[in-house]
Order: sequence, then C-alpha cells, then structure tokens
Amino acid sequence: MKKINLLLFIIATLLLSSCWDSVNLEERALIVGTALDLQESDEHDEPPTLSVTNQIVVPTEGGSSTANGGASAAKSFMNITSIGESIYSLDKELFAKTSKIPYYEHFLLLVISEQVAKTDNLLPKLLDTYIRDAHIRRGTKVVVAEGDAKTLLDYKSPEKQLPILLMDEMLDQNEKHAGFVKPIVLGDLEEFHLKNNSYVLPVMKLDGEIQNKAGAVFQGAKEKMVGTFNTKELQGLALMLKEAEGNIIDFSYRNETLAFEIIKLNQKTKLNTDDINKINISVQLHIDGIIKDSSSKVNYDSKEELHDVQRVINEKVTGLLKQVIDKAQKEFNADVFNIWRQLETRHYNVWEQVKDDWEQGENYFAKANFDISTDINVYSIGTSNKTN
Amino acid sequence: MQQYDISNKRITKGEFAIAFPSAIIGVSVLELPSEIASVTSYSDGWIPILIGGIIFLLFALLAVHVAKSFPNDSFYTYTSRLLSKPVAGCIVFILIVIALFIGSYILRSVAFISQQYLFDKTPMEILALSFLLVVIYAISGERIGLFRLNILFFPIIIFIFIFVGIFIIEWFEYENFLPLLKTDVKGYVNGTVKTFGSYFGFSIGLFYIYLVKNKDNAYANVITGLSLTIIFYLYIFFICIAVFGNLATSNLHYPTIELAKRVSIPGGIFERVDAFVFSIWVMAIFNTISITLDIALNLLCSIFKKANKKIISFIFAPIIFYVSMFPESLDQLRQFSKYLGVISTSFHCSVILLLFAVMKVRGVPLREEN
Amino acid sequence: MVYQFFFSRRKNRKSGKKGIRDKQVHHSSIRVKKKVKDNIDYVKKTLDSPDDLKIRTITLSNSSIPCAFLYIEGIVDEQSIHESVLGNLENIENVPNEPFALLTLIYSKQIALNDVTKEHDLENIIIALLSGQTILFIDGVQVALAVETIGGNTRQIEEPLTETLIRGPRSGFVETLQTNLALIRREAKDPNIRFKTSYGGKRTKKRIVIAYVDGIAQQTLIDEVNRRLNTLNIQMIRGSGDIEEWIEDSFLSPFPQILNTERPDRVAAAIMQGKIAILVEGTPFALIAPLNISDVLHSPEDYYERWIVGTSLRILRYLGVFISIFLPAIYVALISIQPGMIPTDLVFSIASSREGVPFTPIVEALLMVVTLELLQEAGARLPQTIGQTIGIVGGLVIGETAVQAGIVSPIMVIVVALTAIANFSIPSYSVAISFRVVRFAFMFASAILGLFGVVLMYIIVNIHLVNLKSIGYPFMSPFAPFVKSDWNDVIVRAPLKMLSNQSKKNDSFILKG
Repeated sequence: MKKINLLLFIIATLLLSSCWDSVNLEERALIVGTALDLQESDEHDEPPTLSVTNQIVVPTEGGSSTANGGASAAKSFMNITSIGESIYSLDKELFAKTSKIPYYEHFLLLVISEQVAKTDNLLPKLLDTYIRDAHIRRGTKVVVAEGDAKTLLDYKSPEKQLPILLMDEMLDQNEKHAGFVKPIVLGDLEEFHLKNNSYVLPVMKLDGEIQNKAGAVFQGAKEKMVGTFNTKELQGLALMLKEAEGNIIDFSYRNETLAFEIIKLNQKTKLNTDDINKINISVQLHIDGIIKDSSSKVNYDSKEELHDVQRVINEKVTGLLKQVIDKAQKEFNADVFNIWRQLETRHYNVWEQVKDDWEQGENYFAKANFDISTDINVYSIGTSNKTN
Repeated sequence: MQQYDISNKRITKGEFAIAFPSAIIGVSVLELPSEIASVTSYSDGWIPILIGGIIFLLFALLAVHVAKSFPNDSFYTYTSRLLSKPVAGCIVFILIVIALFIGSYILRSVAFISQQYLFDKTPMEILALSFLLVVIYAISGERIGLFRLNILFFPIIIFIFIFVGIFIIEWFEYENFLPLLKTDVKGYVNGTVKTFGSYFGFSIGLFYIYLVKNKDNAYANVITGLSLTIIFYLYIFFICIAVFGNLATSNLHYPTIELAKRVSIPGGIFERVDAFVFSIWVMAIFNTISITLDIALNLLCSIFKKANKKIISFIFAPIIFYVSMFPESLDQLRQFSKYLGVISTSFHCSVILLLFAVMKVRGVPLREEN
Repeated sequence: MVYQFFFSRRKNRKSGKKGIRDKQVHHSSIRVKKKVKDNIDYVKKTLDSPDDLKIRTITLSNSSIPCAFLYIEGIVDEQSIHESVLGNLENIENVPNEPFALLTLIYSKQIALNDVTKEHDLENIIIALLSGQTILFIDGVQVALAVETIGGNTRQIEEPLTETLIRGPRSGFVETLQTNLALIRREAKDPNIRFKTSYGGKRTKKRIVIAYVDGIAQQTLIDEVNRRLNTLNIQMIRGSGDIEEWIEDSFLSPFPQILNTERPDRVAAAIMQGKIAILVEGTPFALIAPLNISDVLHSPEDYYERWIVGTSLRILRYLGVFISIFLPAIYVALISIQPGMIPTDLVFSIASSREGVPFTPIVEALLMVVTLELLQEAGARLPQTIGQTIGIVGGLVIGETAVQAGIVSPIMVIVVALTAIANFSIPSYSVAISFRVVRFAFMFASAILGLFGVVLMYIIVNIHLVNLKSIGYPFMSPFAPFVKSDWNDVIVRAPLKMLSNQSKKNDSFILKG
C-alpha cells in the first residue's frame, strides 16, 4: 500500500513537472543533410572558417493533409546557412531562424565541398564531430561536392523535392545497379582515419542535374583529398575491389561501340613479398558477362569471332585496371585497392615492417609492381543473334 | 502426480541456470568488446573472454560446491559455522557494501547511458530515480519473483540480440577477423583481467543454493548458465569485430549500442532499432541490479532475522542513489567501475577459496543446536 | 478507509473459523410449533404478511387434522403445487387421525414430487419458503415438510452475449442455478463431478455451488477455495462479482485473478482440467479458478477449430494484447521523444499531418483514447439498435471530423482505432477491460520518459504479475515458473493427439512447481 502511494506520488510529481525531452514532432527541425563549404578568408593564418548549410524538412502548414496527399507536400525543404568554426554554433542560429529545435536523428547525408576536403588537417576534425554525436548514425553517407556543396542542396529536381533524399537514393541505386563503388558511410570513415587508409568518396556535381560520375581520392597518410578518379578509373577501381558486378563496360569492336555487362566477377590478388621494396602484386580477374546489344553485325556463333570479342574486352579491362593503378600509385600514392589489408591478413610479418612506410616515407605501395591477368568469358549474348 | 505446493517458494533448476547469465550480463556487455579490443589485436579478444569465463566458471562451481555442503543454510549461517560468527559478520558486511556499490554503479551507468542515447535534457537523477524505484519495488516483493522475472526477460534479451545479429550481417566484413593470434601474451593477460568486472555475479551460487529445489543438478546448472554467458559475450564481441573492425571497436565507448544504431530495416515499421535494443538491454540491467541488491538484502536479513525486508529495501534506496550520484564525469565513473570490478571480483573469489579451504581442513561441521 | 478494509479482510481470512461461528450464531433455531396457526403467525410476522405469500389451510377429507400450505407466489411452479401436491393429498384415502402418521404417510407416499424434506427449524423454513419451496404444516407435529416447487418465470437458455463463438455450442448460462448445473452435466457426464452447495450473504442467502471433478482437482485447491468462501462476510451478494472480489488474492491488482464465463462448455473444460468453478444463484456468470495468464487469451474456439487455425488465432490474440497495451504508448514515445525510430519517409508525413494540431501527443492520445472508452461504454449500455448509431457517431463524426477540424492527426486516429480493434480480440470482456486500464499507465510513462518509461512500466507490470497469485497458484505460469508440460497449450494449441491423452494432461496442469 505504501509502495503504491509512493509510486503515485512520484508519478504525479513527474507529470506535474514538465517532461523534459518531450518536443512535438512538428516543432523539431528535421535535419536531413548538411553541406560543408569553406568560407573564403583573406588571411591565411587564421583557422579556416566553415560555412555550414543544413537542409531542413518543412512540413506543410495546416492539418488538411487529407485534401491533397500529405506525403508529397511534406517534401518541401529549407536550407539554412551559417558561418562559424564549430558545426554546432549553427544550432542557435537555426533556432532563431525557424523557432525549431534541431534534430539530427534523420541525418542522411553529409556533403563536403572539394575545398574542405583538400584543406590540411580539417577533415579528420570535422568527421570526428559528426562521429562523436550520439544522435547521428554511423550509417550516414558522405559525398564530396565538386564546386560549392551548398549549390547541391538548392537543386530542385522534378521528381523529388528534397535534394538530399535524391542524392541518398542515387547512391543506393548506383551501388545496386550501376556497379559503382559502395557508398562510404561515417562509420567507415572513422575506421579509415583511425588506420590512415586511403579511400574514394563519390563526387556529386551539379550540371543541370545532380550527377555522380567521379570519385574523390583521399590519401591515407595526408588525411585529405588528393585528386579525383573519372568514370573510367572508377570502373577500374570497382573491378579491383570486386564490386563491379552489374557494371557495363563499353568497348569498340569493328568501329561499333558495344556494351559488356559483368555478370560474375572473380578476382584474386596474390602478393609476393620476397622483396619488400618491390612487392609483387598479381591480380587475376575472371569475368563472366554478356554483350548487351546484339544489334551489331558480329556473328557470335563463330568461335573465332567470339574469341576476338573476348580479346578486345580483355584489352579494355586491362587498360582500365592499368589506368587506375597507375594513377593511384604514381599520382596519388594512395592504396585505394586495400592491398594493405591483404598484407596484414596474409603476410603479417611483412606488414609489421612496412606499415609505417606504406603510403609515405619509403612509399612501398608506390614501388609495388602490379601483375594483371584477366580472363573474359562471354557466355550468353542477348536474346537473339542477329537482328536484321 | 506432482502436487503443486502453494507455499512452495523454491527455485527450480531452470531458474537457477538462467539466474547466472541474468545476474552477470549487464552494463559491461556494452563496454566489453571495446575494452577487450583495445588490448588485443584483430579478433583475438575471444581468448581472454573465454579464459576469463572458464576461470569464473571454476569459481562458480567451487562456490556451489561449498554452499551445497550446507543445503538448508543461508550464507551467513554456514559461514559462521565454518569461520565463527564475528568473521562471518565481517565478510557479510563487506559483501553487502560491495553489492550496494555495484548497485550504485549499475544505476549510474543506466542513467548515464540512457541519457546519452535516448534523451537530451532529462536530468540523470530522474532517470536513475525512476529506475531505482522499479528495482526497489521488485526486491521488496517475493524473492522467487526475481528469479521468475529472469526467466521472463532473458529470452527477450537473447531474442533482440539475435535479431540485431541477423540484420547486421549485411555489414559483416569477415576480413576483420584476420590475421589470427597476433596478440602477445601480455595482451591476453591484460584482456583476461579486463573481463573480470564483466563476470561479476558468478558467485550467486553462494547465496541462493539453499533455495534451490533440486540441488543434484546444481553443477550442471552452473555450467549451463555460465556457458550461456560466455557464448553471449563471444557473440557480441565477434559481431562488433566483424562490423567495426578491431580499431573502431576499441575506439567506441559502447560498441554494442553502436551495433544497434547501425541496423536499419528498410521498409519496416521501425527503420531503426537502437532505442528498442537499448530498452531491452534495460531489462537485462534490471535483472542484474535486482539480483545484486537482493543478495545484499538477503545477507542483511539473514543477520537480522526479525528485520522487515521491505523496510530494509527502502533504506537501501537512498544509499544507492546517493552513492550513484558521486562520480562527476564519465571518466570518474569508469575509474570507479574499474576498481570496483577488480576489488569485488577478487573479494568474492577469496571468500570462496577461504570457505573451501576451511571446509577441506575442518570438514563440514555438524549443525549446532542454537 | 481502504486500510481498514484491507485489515479487516485479512483478519477474517486468518480466522476462518470465526466466520463459521458467526453463521451458527445467526441460525438460532426456533422449533416448529405444534399449532399450525402459531406457525403461520410466526411466518406472517417475520415476513410482515406480504401480498405474495399464499397460505392455504385445508383439512383433509375424513380427518380433523388441520394442515396449511405456504408458498410465495411467482417463484414457485403453481401448476405442480396444484397437480402434484394438492391433488395427491386430496386423493388420500383412509387418512389417519394421528398427526404423526399423517406426516409419515405424506412424506413417504403421497407427494409425487421428488424432493421433500422434513424441517424442524422455523428459520430454515422461512429461507426455504423464500427460495421457492412450498411448506406444509401439519397440526400436532413439530415438523414441517418443505416441498421443492421452485419454478416461476425464468429466462430461456440463449446464446451467451459476451462470448459468442463462430463454431461451438450456442447455449449459455441463465440466472437459475439448477439450469446452470444441468448445463454442466450435459457437457460432461463424469460421475466424479461434484457440486458442493453453500449459502452466502448474510441477508441475500444465495446458493453458491462449487463445481469440481473429484480426483482431478487438487484437494489443497478445494480446501483453499472453501476456506475463503467460509470467510465470506458480506450482507449482500449481488452476483459472482462479489464472490470473485472477496476470494481473489490481490484486490489491488488491475488484473482479474478469477475468470468469469457464460459458457457451460468452458466451465466443463476447466473443471476437467482440475480447476474449480463457482456458480452463484441469480447470475449467468460462473467463476473459474485458478486462472493463469495464458487462460486469459484462450477461447473455447481454439479447440473447436482445427489446431492450425486455433494456433494462428491465439498468436493473433497475443499480438492483439501487445498492440492494445503498447501502441498508444509507443506512438506517444516515438512522436514526442524518440522520433529517430520512425522511418525517414514516414516521419515527414507524420510531421506534416501533425502540423497545426494544437495538442501535445500525450494530450492528443488521451483525448482520443478517452473518447474511445466513452464510445465503448456507451455502446455497451445502449440497446443494440441505438448502439449502431454510436458506432456511426464515433467512427465518422469524431474520427473524421476531429481530423478535419485539425484537433487530432490522422495517424492518431489510426492508432486509436487499431488499439480498439486489438482490444476487442481479447476473448474475455473483464480481462480486456483490465488491459485497457493498464494501457493508460503505459501512456503516462511514455509521455514522461519515452521508450525508457515504457520499458520501466513493462518491468513494473511484470514484477506485479510474477508476484500475483490466483488462489495461491502463480498467475504467470506456465511462463514463470516455467512449466514445460503445459507449453503445448499456451501459445501453440498443439494437435489433439499431441495434447497427450487428456487425463495425463490434467495431472500435470500447473501442478508442477
């Protein structure tokens, strides 16, 4: 009895006092994404000033959502930019402008401008702020914007009104269907920066519409962006990372451009670490695929012709690989292929020796020799042989 | 036909077995992967977890062995028969203090972590107080009720973590396990020491065996219970390593919660499950703290036979609350837990060893008449 | 006040014997007098000569002994009095002139009705008279005859209103105890079925029958129920509800610890499982005890349908209970404290649908849930034809219009509707009501502490449930204590063949600790 009375008393006091964290949903500013830009400053000694743009979902006013589809109307948005050194200095401004409380649980995408990504010592600090936040998820995707990141958020697409959602979906679809490199999330970035790995982030570009065609290369030791891969190099990267299934490789054969779709990809990397100054990396690729368009005059029934086609694809694939490996080794000195992981797991002793000089100092990665052998198998060709 | 005795308040063998994981798995499951990963490389942390588990399995068996020799006596009674009353009184007093401290630590952890992950402005004191009141309500009820609550909650806890495991397979990177066995001996030793705090609660056999209905199965129950615990810890550890890798795991404060934050069920009613996993974990903590405090209550009641259980549990509440609000920061809380873990575990182990030794030397004394 | 009640009740329970002594004191016997007229005067005086007391004084042919019949109009079967009692008496030839011989003759031979008892005590005679028996006084003997002539207008056996089944017997209990007992007999012809009668209520003197199967029901259970019934110390028994509240283990609990049912098949099945049924005169609701949490969600239909259907329906009902308790609470928690759990797309549409709603989620939820409770209550109290109007008013006017007026959000209406539907799936009305009460506790907890509060409340409810007993048996069995042998009939209704043979199951029913 006393127990119950005590309980009632406590519940009553709790109810009478305010419920601290109870905020109506419509009073929260649902932040779905943020664009980070570098604010131009004249003096170079000053710490870089950031311009942070948050995208907030604005629910439509009025309860008559039954009248015309509440869901679609909900997707209008509002971008709020503020300038400051810390990301959270923005929150106050946001509150002042919208009278809403910032809420980060539905944070989907972080867009970093190229300039921010290329500034020394800035990126790890920024990422840390986002990773430490208990409300932001580790699954939040991160992309690099070519040019101003802010402009991406202002894009109004005909299909979806929220540019952040559009980009988010684009990344998912690209991974599933176009065979692009897996989107990188905050959690991955934390691991990469802890281990000083190199990685590639997708690049978003506003050119009439939002496009995702390039990749930004981040060098592990420098912890900043060092350059970009174009679409072809990304294809090569995808092949190296075994993520190219579903990818389409264009090649020209007898003055025709044909498309080869990768159905199955088998890649094996073997390391020979006899000489650590010239680690030999042999990459064996076995690709099964189909020719997408059979409108050409090629007769696939003939063994010779098929061989010929396979040879051309082979050359093309080898070319793609060589190009990306070359760029990674010579230009960026960035092990974006995760060769280090192989060393670590299979050749632990060697890795112990080279790990501090992998992408810097002795540059063992840049010195390594890649040995590429590819094997293409075209096994089924469209639905008909010839259409005349 | 087995008759159900209405006045029967004995613990069944199943309840006794489940009591072990319920009493052990608590706050530490959130930190354990991080702690272990920080001193071992790659996936080697399973070795310290296993070694620690086996050590405490042995201690738990020893505890049951000692307590079983006095099938109908409470801890205080048989300790005083073995070691004389004043010594037993001292031991019981220290055990009570330890249990209260552990209770305070658990309380503070729940309040702290839930404030961090579920709330923003809600004062920690309110969270702690509401949780404490629930616990006090539980321990002031029937003792057998606590064991039945374990039976009710444990499957839910297991279910939710298996659920997380299934939905997180998408993010597994099996390479994170490799290479194997690259940790040096020092790392293993350090890791094993770090598991000590996580196995606190292994000694419940000392205090409850007299309530167990079928004591013949006690050893098997201990083995079942502790194996479940070890498997659960290993499961959580491996998932953390598979998803985050060793470095990120050791860098996270509470990797287990982060696991839940990583899970998303696209197209489901709940896209994210972390708050649910966290809430279920609150049940696990409730089990741990209720058993811990009930041990203190039980010990105190065994000394003061006429004392009212309810009143004692009401007296406990402010003490626990006050102590739990002592640490000012997370760092202090962690320091507190570190020392507390080592002190409490080693004290429990030495009590078990002492009792065992005395029992071996002097034999089981016959029941005194007073 | 409550304290006093609690205290006094405890005391009574502990000293069960005292209650019995009270009863005996009350029954100070007054011996039947020699003169018929004195007896009639006594009855008239006691009852204050009411209009419905009928007295017929007769003198049998060629005898000088005056006799008198007394009965109360309306509760007796007058036709049988005329035909069997009076008719038979008038046909007696060679009426002896010695009163005692006359009595013996009538008692043993002449009255064709089966149940005639000799009564010496005037107090008892009055009770017998009031319960529908016809009393025959014969001048010169200090014994009266009580003839069982209970009758009058009673309700026909109808389909039970509160527990309708799609497939299953259509008969339900009525207000007449005899009929109810007969209904149970018809369901099960086990010779071991026992009906033990006692009377309850200091003034109402209602017949209470404990039904059980000898050999299956545990003796301790029977004794315990008897002990508790013996302490019954109230003036009036309105129905089985009074008995239930008196003998239940915890009157502070929101959960019923004794099940009530209108279905004879359910009672028969329960006593065959080793439970005890309590039937009270004048109510169609029988009580079944002990009750455990799984019984609450079982419907006789589970056994009438095939086992797959039965199991699916049970799982649906368990789901219904969870929805009914948790849904509004989780809605409040998610909307006001943890919107991060809601899928991104959904959160946008909820946010836009809530835009313009003036209330916080908890107020909104309370508003709608209380409205729903009112509708339910109004619907239950009104005649069926008007009840439909309530449905329209509730569904259309309050739901649709409230949304259009911007008072509540459409999602809230969905939540409340779903909660109500889920609650209706619980087979027993009084259990469903208790879940509705608990729902409010969850809503308050979630408004204060979000999901954390919901879990704390869930733990509290579980603590309460594990400590709860039903006539001494753990309410949470077979969950906790875990009783493995009962698990083939908890969530899954195992096929009949696997329910083991019935008698074996009966043995193990919650008997294992």
